[in-house]
Amino acid sequence: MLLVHLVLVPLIVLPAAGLLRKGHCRDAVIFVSVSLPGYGLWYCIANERPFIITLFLEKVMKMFV
Amino acid sequence: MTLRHAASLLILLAAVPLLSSCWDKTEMNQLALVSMVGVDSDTGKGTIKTYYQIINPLSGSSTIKVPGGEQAPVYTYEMEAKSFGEIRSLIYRKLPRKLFIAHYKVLLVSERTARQGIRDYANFIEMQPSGRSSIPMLVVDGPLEPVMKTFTPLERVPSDSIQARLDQLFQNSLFSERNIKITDVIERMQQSRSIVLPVLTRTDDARFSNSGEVFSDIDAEKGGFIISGGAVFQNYRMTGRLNDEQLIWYHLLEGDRGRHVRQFEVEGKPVTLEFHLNKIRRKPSFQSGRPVIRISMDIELSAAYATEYVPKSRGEVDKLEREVSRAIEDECLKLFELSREREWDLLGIKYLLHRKTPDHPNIEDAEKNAKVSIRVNARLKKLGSLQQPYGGTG
Amino acid sequence: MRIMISRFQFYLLTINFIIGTTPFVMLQGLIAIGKQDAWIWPILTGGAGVLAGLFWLLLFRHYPGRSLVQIPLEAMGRFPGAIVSFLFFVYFCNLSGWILRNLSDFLNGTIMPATPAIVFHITFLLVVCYTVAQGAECVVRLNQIVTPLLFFPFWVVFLLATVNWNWERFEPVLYLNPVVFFRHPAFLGFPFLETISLTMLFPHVQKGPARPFLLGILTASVSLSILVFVIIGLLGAERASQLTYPVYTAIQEVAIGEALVNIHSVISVILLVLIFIKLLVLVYSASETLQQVVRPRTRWPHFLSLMILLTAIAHSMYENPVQNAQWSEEYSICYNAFFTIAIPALLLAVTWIKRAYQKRQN
Repeated sequence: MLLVHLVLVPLIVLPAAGLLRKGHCRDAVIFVSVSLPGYGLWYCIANERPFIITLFLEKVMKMFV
Repeated sequence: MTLRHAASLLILLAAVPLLSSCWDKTEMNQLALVSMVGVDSDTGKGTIKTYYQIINPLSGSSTIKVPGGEQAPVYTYEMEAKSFGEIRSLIYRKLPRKLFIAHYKVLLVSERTARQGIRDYANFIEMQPSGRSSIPMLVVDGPLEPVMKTFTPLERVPSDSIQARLDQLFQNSLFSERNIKITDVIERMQQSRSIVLPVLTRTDDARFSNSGEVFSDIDAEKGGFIISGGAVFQNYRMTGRLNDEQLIWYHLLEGDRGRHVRQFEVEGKPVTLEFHLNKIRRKPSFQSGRPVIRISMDIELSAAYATEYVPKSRGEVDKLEREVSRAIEDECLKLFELSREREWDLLGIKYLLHRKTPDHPNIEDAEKNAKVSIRVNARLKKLGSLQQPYGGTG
Repeated sequence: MRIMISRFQFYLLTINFIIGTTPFVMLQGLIAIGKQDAWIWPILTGGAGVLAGLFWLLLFRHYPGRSLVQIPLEAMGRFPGAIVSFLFFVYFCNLSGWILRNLSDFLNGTIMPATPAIVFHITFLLVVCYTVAQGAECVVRLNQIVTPLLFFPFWVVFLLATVNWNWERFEPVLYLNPVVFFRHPAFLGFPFLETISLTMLFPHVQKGPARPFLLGILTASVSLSILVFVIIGLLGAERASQLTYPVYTAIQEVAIGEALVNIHSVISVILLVLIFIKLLVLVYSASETLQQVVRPRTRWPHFLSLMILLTAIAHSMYENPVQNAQWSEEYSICYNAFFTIAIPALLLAVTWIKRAYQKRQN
């Protein structure tokens, strides 16, 4: 659990901070918005309750059909 | 630029330990190389007993000789458990090295296990990613333990001895065939066919578990085992036995090309001839709803071993060929009768009908009613070095 | 500097992309349904794949020089187009995660049972991201160099295995009613509908991508058909339909003489390289989607974020192979068709409406 936070938080925060410092605001926003879902999924995986994508897609498809 | 270089260097360094497959690493001398596996079952206790014959890496001519005698070429470990999978965890109570079964050469099954069914074992082997199912399977007549703890002369590792014997039998006789591997067993059982596996029988009851004694004794018979006869399997269970004579005709009808030497009777006189199959054709047809299978075989004869009698003229050759053809046809029909009586379908009639006439409504019943006609065309092609055997002068 | 990909390079890429994970994922189910006639089905689905390819080419004819994710921006305007392109981005990321998961399942199930899956994902992604960062030319050229190294050992090994061949395994020939296949539409979707990812490379192919693309689909379907044919001939339909990885088992039974009996680990590397190529194209598509829709000024941070996202998706894709097989059987055609047929159809409809409206205005 702790390892996920220890590894991912610097990997997300440090490059984002670096990008902001260089003035690439748009890049920083993109970076964070792509990494955050990844971080969320990893949090669920580390909790031993992974968010299963195929089951989610099944629910979405059943809603429309 | 330097920051980027430092970052990429850091990533590479971090990836290097991941590349050494640390988790799955195994050193060569941590492996127990299994050369033969034996499976037995104890119905009373409901357990399975597995024997692993493991190659001793210290034996062999190039290794250091341990004072105090010969190194055994193999060691046999046995393990008892309720299912095959459990043995994987239990075996390390006895075995000091990691079990490596990917190189084993022969599987032996005791007769009582064969009669109960080998489906579990077939499933177990196929489920293992490192299992090998392309190796021959033999049935052991009698108790399995003495056979697993016997050394063989000439070939130091018993599984090599068995495998070499099967290869020689396949080339020089009709007592064995190539399709006795576990893969063939599985395929045929899944197709509801029958298969005949070789049987190992012990030649006598002497126990020879000391390799030094075996390798220095001139009598190769003592305590050994012989490949003789066949075990008929249907639906993963052993249902009967074939003797050596029946085995010859079974393999001939299967289409095996081994060169077999046998003594025939021609006009009341014994003649030893070598014969082998050139071509076999099986044609099914239907006569008033009843299937008729026409089997025609082209057989080549050689009189190279005919010390009793060699034909002198074309007429004699024709007579010889006709009588031998008839003799083979009779023997094959006898095998068919036996196969129909015991419902073994050794000729594979159901499989043939299923392949050639799949639309038939009831292949099971059709097979029971099938009529088989066998035509053998034997031709004498070769002679030995003697045109005529030496006779007596008086 | 314009990126230039030759037609032959694109043709090879199409073939390797389609073959990609198919030997691992599709064979067992296909033989279970088709039995000894299963080898016909890849040719039929290849035909359907060519139809889908023609459909996409029809869309692309209206937008020459544009890649797949630039078309919605032009057709529907910036904001709605960005949403459609975002859907494609999700599709590419999902596919990449799926492939990574298939890869780690295969390696864990066969050669390396003790290694944690994340190790496979990270090491593969590191190499993939590095290659993709060099650009499309690198991806395509790498594929071209590697193809002979894949093709020859793979088929030589199968030739060695032909000692176990038995023609009787195909009888009765062509007995199966092809209608049976149409009841299992999952095989229509995978792998041919996924080739929409290759359309990201369309603008860079010299002299037009149509011919190499369609020829590649046809060649790949013939290759797959031959592969299924060989597996049935070597193992028989009864065994192959119940083995998890029939290709791996068939290679396990290859023996060169008496001494070399375990060459399957070496051959597995070839199959891994095919997966690598498929992953290259998908990660390229995902990262190019980001580059073309959002136009960031830097490159490598986005690869890092993609890596975090893709490894997470790989772990979250499905819980166990049983669940994956059932989901693929029931829902994958719907899922694939939405992204590869429905959305392009929508784009085509919008394009036609716009053109008709403009014509009326003039």
